[in-house]
Amino acid sequence: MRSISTYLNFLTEKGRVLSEINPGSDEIALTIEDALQALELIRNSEEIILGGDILSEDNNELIYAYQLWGEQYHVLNWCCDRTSNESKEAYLKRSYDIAKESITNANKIAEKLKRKCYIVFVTE
Amino acid sequence: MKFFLKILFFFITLFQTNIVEAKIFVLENIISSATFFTTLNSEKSSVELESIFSENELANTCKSEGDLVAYRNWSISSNAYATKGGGTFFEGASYSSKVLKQMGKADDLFHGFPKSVDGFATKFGQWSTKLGADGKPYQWLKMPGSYGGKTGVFEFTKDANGLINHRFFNVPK
Repeated sequence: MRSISTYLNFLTEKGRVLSEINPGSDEIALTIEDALQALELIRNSEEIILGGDILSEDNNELIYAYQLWGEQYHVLNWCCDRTSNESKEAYLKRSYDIAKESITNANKIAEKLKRKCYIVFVTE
Repeated sequence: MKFFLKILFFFITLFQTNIVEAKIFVLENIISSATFFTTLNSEKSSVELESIFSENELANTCKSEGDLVAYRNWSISSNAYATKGGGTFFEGASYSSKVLKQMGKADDLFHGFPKSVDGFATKFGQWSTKLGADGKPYQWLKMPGSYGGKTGVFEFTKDANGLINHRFFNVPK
């Protein structure tokens, strides 16, 4: 098990801060490639992924994907809540699996729309 | 009679002046600001609701949200043209863990606005059902307003299970 600091260092090194569009935000957006890498770091640190937001880019500025691609794409922003009687281990694995699936799905749509795609993880 | 009217006018003027002073006093002492104006589809509206919240209400709101937000200049006023209100939007609904985490960050302008906004959105927001990109229906609650010096729309969406995974202050670019 790795420390969460490995993931946080990766975020700082590779990510784009959301405070450029959202004053006061401490969230960081990653490209698809970096997000998939970060996912492994999160899993290794046994951190639950509560969900994530999908962003895109407009005139070199970050923008929430649904704002640019259309409101129907708000559903790309995912969440993963712990179910009753679910063990911590099972929840951890499910949160990781849903995150991976959501990133892949968002990437497919971004490619179809010929748009850039960024991921923001919301961890526990 | 003229003299009586002059005295009456004097007292009315004095009374109005005091109200203005009271307002300024309150606003100076409140740290954060959120203004709501619900004018979505106002042309379709048949009922005009006008609501101006008293300074006492504002002060109470600020106290109750004290732990959540570093308030800047809080003031609320509302001129609502309600079409389909958000009356039951939050009934039986729950926030996702993701939304709760984001709500907890008071400095985050887009996600961290006070929970009391949800109550105002329920009263003055507009509620509709739209299909998501996954083909499933989602209920949207929207309320135009301003917060933290920005003007935008407070947005909420919930799925068929009542899960709210979108609670966002959408500020247009």
